[in-house]
Parts: sequence; structure tokens; C-alpha cells
Amino acid sequence: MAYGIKLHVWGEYACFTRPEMKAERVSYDVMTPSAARGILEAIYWKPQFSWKIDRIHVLSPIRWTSIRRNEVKSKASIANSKKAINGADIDLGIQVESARQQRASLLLRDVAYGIEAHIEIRDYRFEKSGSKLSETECVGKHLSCFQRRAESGGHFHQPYFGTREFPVSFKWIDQSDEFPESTLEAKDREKDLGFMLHDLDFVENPKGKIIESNRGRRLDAQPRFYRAFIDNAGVIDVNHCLETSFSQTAL
Amino acid sequence: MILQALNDLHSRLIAEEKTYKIAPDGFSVQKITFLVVLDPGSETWSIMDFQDRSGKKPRSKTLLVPGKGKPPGSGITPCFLWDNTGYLLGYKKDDPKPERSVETFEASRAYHLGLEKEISDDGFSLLCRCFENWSPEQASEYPDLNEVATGFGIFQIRGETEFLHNRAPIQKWWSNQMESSETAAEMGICLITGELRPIAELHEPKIKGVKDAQGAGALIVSYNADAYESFGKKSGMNGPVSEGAAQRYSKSLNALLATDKHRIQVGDATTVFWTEKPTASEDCLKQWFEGAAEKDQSAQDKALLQSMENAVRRLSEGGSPENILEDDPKTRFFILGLTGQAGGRIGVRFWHQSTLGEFMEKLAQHHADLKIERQWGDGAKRPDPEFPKIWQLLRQTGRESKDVPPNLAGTLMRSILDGTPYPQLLANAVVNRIRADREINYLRAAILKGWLTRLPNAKHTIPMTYDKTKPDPSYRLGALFAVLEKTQQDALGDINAGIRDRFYASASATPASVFPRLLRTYQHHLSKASSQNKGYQIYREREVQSILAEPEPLPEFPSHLNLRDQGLFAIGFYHKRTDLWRKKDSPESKEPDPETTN
Repeated sequence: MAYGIKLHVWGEYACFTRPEMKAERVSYDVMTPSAARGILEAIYWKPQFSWKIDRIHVLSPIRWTSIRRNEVKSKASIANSKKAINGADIDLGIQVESARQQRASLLLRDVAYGIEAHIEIRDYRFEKSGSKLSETECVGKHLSCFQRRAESGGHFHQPYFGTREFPVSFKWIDQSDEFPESTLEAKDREKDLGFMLHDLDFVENPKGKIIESNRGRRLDAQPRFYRAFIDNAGVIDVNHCLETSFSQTAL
Repeated sequence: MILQALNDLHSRLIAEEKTYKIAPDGFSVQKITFLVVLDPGSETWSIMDFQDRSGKKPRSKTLLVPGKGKPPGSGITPCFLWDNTGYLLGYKKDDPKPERSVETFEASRAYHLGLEKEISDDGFSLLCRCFENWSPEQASEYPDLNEVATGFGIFQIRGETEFLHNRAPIQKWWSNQMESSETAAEMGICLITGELRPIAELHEPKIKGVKDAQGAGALIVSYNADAYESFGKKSGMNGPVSEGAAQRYSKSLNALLATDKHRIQVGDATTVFWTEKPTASEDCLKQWFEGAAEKDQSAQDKALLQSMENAVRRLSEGGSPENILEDDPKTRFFILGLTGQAGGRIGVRFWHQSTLGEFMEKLAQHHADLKIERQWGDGAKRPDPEFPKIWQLLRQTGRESKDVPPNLAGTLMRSILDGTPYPQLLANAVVNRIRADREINYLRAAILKGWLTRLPNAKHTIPMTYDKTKPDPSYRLGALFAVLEKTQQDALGDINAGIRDRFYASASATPASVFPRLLRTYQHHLSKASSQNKGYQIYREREVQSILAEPEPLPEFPSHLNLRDQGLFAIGFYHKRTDLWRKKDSPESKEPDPETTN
């Protein structure tokens, strides 16, 4: 990628939760492009562009651990909040004793990945009140902003691996440099991981449950899956996998 | 990956219908206890018991019936051509709400009558006439009904051998129904098959047979509380799986859990394993993990176990799987550990997929790491197992079975499958047990040896028998303790509380404060023991000297030993003690030194 970035990320734990096993969490074997996008957005993002993940390098062996945690089973109620805003005397808290649920999680341990990504410009004005720039200027400005922040460790919120309790350490890697050598085990190379979550597609839907915060449009989140494949070097070529996902016969 | 592997398994299990009772799409397997026999002449029906009375207790027979299963909940949901007594007859045993039973009967009747026009079959029409001619009060004429009231019933026409729901026109109609009703659900991309299909709201049939989970069936994929839903999606749409795939994976898993050879219990995790094709190894593995005591094993079990042991032995000696296993080592192998969780769900404790060859290699590696000299060999009354089973290892971590830490089994299983270091919790628990009950047996020594061998940065290997060239101070101190104990035993005979009971814990944790005292009392024991036999004293002294001085002189007694060193201490003690006892069994039992006795 001519105008792309490379970021080395690592951490002690990760949980890229499978959507089908959400109550008792089970992680995917490797990072999803959605989680990679989340890490990059935590470091630098503006509504004027969006991150597109090109490759994910798996740099450490896939190891698991299992934990149990006490959580609650209810969420904050929107209806009650609205009533409280309008002055009703309602208790918005959750009584833990009656809402307690113990949930188990199957997590990844000691993870390390390399993310390669590029950006796609959605609005050619670098700032909302600025003037339109050319493609290369715009991309260049955003990427150098990202580079400065990645090198200095700046972020809007702590980047996380799938869920917020698993923080990410990150390091900027120059385009001309390589990621550290992958220690992925041989049995996990040349491996077909089956259908994995690629990302969520927010489509407009008048009956959608998600409301866009700046424009008020109603959206529906539709998951998109792709057939991930780790090659011999431990690299998942996301774009290639996306293209070939549905041309193969299922199963 | 998990659901996908189970989905793939479905086609294999369907092909082996003798072993696995899998219901095809749109059907399910239910427990039938009674039969409703339709009489063509009078257009009424009578009720017969359908249970299997050959055993001590009457048991229901499982049959394939149309429909996915009795839906849960308080709504009225008649099933097609099978149901419980409330729906079919309007009667329930000890009924708290008789009006509801009447309602359910009427719903069932209306449901079947409504279908009469669509299903043009005279058997079905007969059923409708019988429905019309029956009223719930008539149930009192059948006192046997109380016995069968807990199961489901099916229909049969008097004089015919097949059941009503198996008649060809009815089956055909039902299959057509199934295909058209699929489109009622919301469409989405299935995450197992990748196809655009109707998405299942609830994944049926429920999974039965996981320990500590709901007996009636629990779900792996469930969103039964607000906190588990995201993006405003409800239930099954949170993790879109097509109806067909949901049924297939659930049926596969249920079949595995119901089949004895695929299922073992590892601690609190109900574990199933399978290979993508039927293999001979698949049949042996259960014996390997969980085998019954020697005397309970059948001849076939013994033979399987033998072949497995030979395979593992040869693999651990360095053979390659291609030559050793009968089956293709590249056959894919899967193992899944499940636990029942709070909230009526099933959680995944561990999941591992690899090839049969790799799995056998890891198993062989595990046993090679544990291998240590046996205390009780083959001739003894209860010989130590050459290949200890997982439950035997876990049992050493607590005084009673219930004291074993529950999640240790999953962690231990994972370390065996991955070839990674054994959990420190295991070593910790074993060392604590040794200090508490002062017993260092073969299994405990094996566990400690395995743990030490697999520690990262393990500097020296742990030998299988006593090795006097091993320089580690803690190992030598353990051996020394064994010698001191033996001397006391030779001097005083069997006493209530020897030095092992009194001093083992402190000797293994803080040698510097204990060993000087022990060596003082050792002198007294030595002179008493050698009062009969002068050679004994010289022999023993020489032994103690060699421990303290070889391979290099022990500079001082360490003041404190950490967990790793305490493990080495225990192994040294075990090795030396087994060594001492072995010498005693040999003809020169008085241990005179050949050089002094001329």
C-alpha cells in the first residue's frame, strides 16, 4: 500500500467475542478486522475518513485461558432515562443482587498482531470549516497526524482487544520496516479459520434501532462475515479473503 | 469454528445411523411412553402403554417424530401427531389446572382437524374422527394412564405396523411444510455456512447431557437477557445462524453427548471428542482418558487399551505417527469441553482441533514428561499405573474429590493438548497436599516431575530414578531426608510419628533450621541400628557422605526453598526412598558393605 500504515500491537489478554457465543464468551482465534479498526480509531479518527484494514499479521502463538466473572444481566433503560429527564422520580440504578449473572469467558493469552491499513476519505475538507484538498494531500495529512500520535502514544481512549478490559500496547512501524518475526506455531499456519466476523455494516433503515448521533438517521447494524485464511507466514490478507469468501462452496 | 466443526460432523453421523440416532431436518427424537391406537371400525381410540418393560424400571422408547421439539413456555402449542397426555387426551396426572388441559386438548384437536383437508390420507381422516369422538372425561376409563403420563404419545391404526406419522403421504406433506415455513423467519447471512438463509431465533434442539447444566436441555447460543443483546437486535439475530445449520450442529452435539464412546468427564467439564472420519483411535480414547478399574474392563476394552498403550509407548520413544497409528495421522481430530453455567447456559471450557497424529504426539509427550520410576511395580497388589489418567492426577490435589479445584481440569487438559507448561496451581496443590499428609506417592512425584520438566528455563532434566550426579541441593536434601528416615526406621522399627510426620514440612521449606537437628538424632539412630551389624554403620555413613559431597560438596543448608525447589525435594525423597526399598527386597537385605565384611 502506497499510503498505508503499519502498527504493531500486543497485550496480555484478548477477547474477540464470537457473535454466536456472546453470553458465555468464546473468542475467535485471531483478531477481527473490526477489532483492528477499533484500535486504530482509538489512536486517531475523524468523521472525514474511515479506516480500511488490509492485512493482519499474527505474531504470537494462539494460547487460551478461561475465566469466570460476575456481571449483571440488565442494561440501562432508555425509557426510564427519558422519564427521569422529564422529571419523574425513578430509580435508574440496577439492583445487583437480583440481576447478578456469572459468565464464563474463553480468552486469548499473550497476543501480538501487526495491523496494516489504509484510509478512505469521505470528506475532502480536512476540517469541517476548511477547503477541499486533493486526495494525496488529504491522505497525507491524516496519516502524518496518525503517525505523530502513534509514535508518541496519543489516543482518545485506551485501545482494547475486543473488549475494553484488555488494553493494547502499540508501536509505530515504518512502511519500509518489517514486523517482528511471527512465532505462530506451524499447525496454525496455512489454516482455514472458517467464517469470521469481518465488520458491521450500518445500513439505513427507517425501522432501525441505532440512531446516528450527528445526523439522526436510523440505522441497522448488519454483520458481514468473511472466510479468513492464515497463510504460511502468519498473515491474513483481509482483502483477498473477502473477495474469495463466497466464491467457494459453503462448508 | 466450534459450530462449524459440529455442522460438518452432521453428515458423518447421518451416514452411521446404527450408532447415532440423528433426526433429519424438520424431525426430532423424542421419548415415547404411550401409544394411542385408532380403531377404524368404531372411530374411537384406546390407549396402550408403549414403554420398554424388559429392565427393572419401565423405560421410554426414543423415536423419530415430526417437529423440532416441544416448545417451552406457557403458550398453547400443539405438536403434529405426537404430544403429551394433556394435549392428546385432555388429561394430566394430578392435574393442578384441569381447565388448561381441556384447552390444550381442544387446541390439538382443532389443529389436526384444520389440516384434514390439506392431508388427503384416510389414516389421518380416521384420526380426525377419533379426535371428534373423544372427550377428556373418558380418560378416567384408563387407569394405566397415570403410569405413562410423563412422556409423549404417538398414533397407530389398529392392525397396522407403522405409526401414523410414518405413513408416506403424511411424511411427504410434512417435508413440504418444512420447506415453506422456513421463509417466515428473517433472512440474514449465516455465520456457519455463509449463505443467505432464514435465521434461527432459537437454536433447537437444546443440548442435553452437559453436567451441571439444565437437564431438560440448555443452549450454547442464547441471548436470554438484555445485557447479551447488541445493536438493538433480538435473540438469534445477535449471532445469525441459519435454521438448518442450527439444527444440524445441535443434533450433532446431542448425538455425541449421548454416545458413550465420545464423551468423558474432565473435572467439571463434560468433554466430547471426535474425528472427522470414523477411526479406530476414536474407539480407544475413552478407555485411555477415563478407563474403568482393571477388573471392570471387558476384554474388548482391554484390547483397545493395550493397542493405545503400545502406540503411546512407541511414540514417546521417538517413532513417527505415520508408522504407528493404524489410522491416517492427518485425520482431523476435535475435542470440546463444556460446562453448565449459571443462567441455564452452556459455556465452552476448552476447544482444540488438530490432527490425530499431532494429538497422539502431544499425548505421548505428556506421558514422557510424567514418566518416573514406579513405587509399586507390576508384581504388587495395586501397581502404579504406567500411564496415569487425568482424573488420577487431579485426585492428588485434594483430600476428597470435591476439594479438587474445579477449573484445574480444563487448564490441565489445555496444557496437555497444547504441549505448554502444566498449571502452577497443580504443582502448588500437590506440594500442599504432601505437606499436609506427608505422603509422596508415584502420582505426586510424577506430577511434580512433569511440571518441573515443562517449566520454561528448565536447566536440568529430572531423571526417572535416583541419580547421584544431580547437583541440585534441594534434590540431594530430599534424598538425604529419605536416608535419615530409613535409618530411624531401622533403629526404632515402626513408630507412631517418625521424622517424616514431624519434620517433612519444615525440612522441605526451611532446611537450614531443621537438618542440623535431624543429623544429630540420626547419629543416635545410627548407633542403635548398627549395634547388631557393624557393616551397617559404615554403609550408611558412606551413603550420607556421598549425598552431601557428590557431585560437588553442598556448601550449606539453604535457609528457604521456593515452590520449584520443594518439588525437587519431594522428587529426591521419592527417588531415594524407592531406591532404598528396592535394595531391601533383594537378597542382601541386611546391607552389609561387601568391602568391610571379608
